[in-house]
Amino acid sequence: MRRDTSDLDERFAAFVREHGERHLQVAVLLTGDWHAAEDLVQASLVKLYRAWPRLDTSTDPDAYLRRIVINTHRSWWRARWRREIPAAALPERASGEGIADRHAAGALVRQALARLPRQQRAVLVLRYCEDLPVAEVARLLGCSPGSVKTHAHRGLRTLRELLGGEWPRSAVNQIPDREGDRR
Amino acid sequence: MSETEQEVRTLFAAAADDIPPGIDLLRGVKARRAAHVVRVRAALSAAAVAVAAAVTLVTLTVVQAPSALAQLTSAVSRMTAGQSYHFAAITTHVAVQSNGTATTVRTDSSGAFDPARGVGEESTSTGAQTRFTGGSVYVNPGSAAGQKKLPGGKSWIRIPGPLPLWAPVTAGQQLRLGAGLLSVAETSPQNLFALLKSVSTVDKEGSASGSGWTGTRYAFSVSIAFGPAGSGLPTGTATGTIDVDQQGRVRQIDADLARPAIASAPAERATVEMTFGDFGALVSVSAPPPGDTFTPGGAPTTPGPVQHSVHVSVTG
Repeated sequence: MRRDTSDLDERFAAFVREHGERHLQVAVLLTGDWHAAEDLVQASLVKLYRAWPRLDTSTDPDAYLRRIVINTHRSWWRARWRREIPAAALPERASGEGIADRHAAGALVRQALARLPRQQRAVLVLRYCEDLPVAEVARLLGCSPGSVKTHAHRGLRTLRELLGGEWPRSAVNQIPDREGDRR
Repeated sequence: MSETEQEVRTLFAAAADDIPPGIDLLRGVKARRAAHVVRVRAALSAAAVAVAAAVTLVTLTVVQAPSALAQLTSAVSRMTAGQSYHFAAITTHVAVQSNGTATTVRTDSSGAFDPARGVGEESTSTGAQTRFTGGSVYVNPGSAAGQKKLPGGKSWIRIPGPLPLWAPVTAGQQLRLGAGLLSVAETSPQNLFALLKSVSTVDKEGSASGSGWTGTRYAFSVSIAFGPAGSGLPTGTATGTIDVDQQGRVRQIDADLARPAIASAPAERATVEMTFGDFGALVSVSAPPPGDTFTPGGAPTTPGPVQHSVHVSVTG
């Protein structure tokens, strides 16, 4: 019996219109550039589409897609070619200026993120972009909650060092020695 | 929520806010699905044709697509004579002492080659660098111990080219010139491709894919001899897989190399995971400063004898 694809396509399209941009934003923080982010999300959406008819009512497709994005990014990273080879230094900022150009600032943060080890980057993105609790991040990444906290702590410190003067001044020296689970 | 956490959220929101125009996730998904359908239909169509042909033949004759060996050989030849490429690799080297203790060293490397022009460069996580300028090979050992071996406080040593086959091109603490014991850990793309050129038995494993490409995975196995011809040293082995994309380019090599112990050196194993991309990108390499380069007076000006002979082992 041929599957009625028209209804499936419309529901899937509606899902992408509502949630796609959010996953694209997560993907650009994971990958460092919009082209790779688009690639990652589209590849993940194809996987989601194939699984869509099998999703039961208890499955949240948004969370399911998030898992696909994380796993796909990890497998691409393990394939090595997607691993970023960091530049020796971040691009110079105009001296004496703060974050004046929104696009340049965004690129700076993405580049700094890209220099973090993959797991630290994923933890920071899932904790502070997706606002997921530690336990959920641990489940997604297949590590312990303790590891999530450690990765977050180290990632924040490194990010602060990389961003230097671009880190919001109010946050300098305020990274706790150990980040607790506040959720 | 701490102030730091809020600041990070603000930073991330800003970093992901400038979505460039023209991104259409649905359109891209539809395009990928359409490409998948075309591939499936093509495969089904090809299968149907094959079945029909087999039924109508009076005698069984098998019409073969280019053999796995031919396809792999073609891909390797393309990598050694065709487009430029960038590569990244992780090599894990294990030396097993006679008392059973093992020393494991992981080296990350990356670089670029333009085989048509004979130029390239490699850098490793140990600090070692190699530059190929067509006429010569320049090696910087990277480590303090390695550089101590270079007279005059120089950082680089020049090995007159052209590049010897399967020669040590990623020098660590032991610099080897010309004939000598070779380590399975010396795995630059040039070395791997030289090895793969000699493979004569290849099995097609299945499909392969990566970011932006699809292709085929092949498995290979080959034995390697070490030292000068006639040295009587035991042979090693190299096995692994190689992924070739639909444009006939090598995308990934995963290889396991092993050399048994000999009187002067423990047994070694090395695993290499190497990926390739950025085909056609400009590769620009310059020789290091002459004042910082040591050219051994006794170094051969022509390549020494081939450092290995390859014996094919039949697999499968």
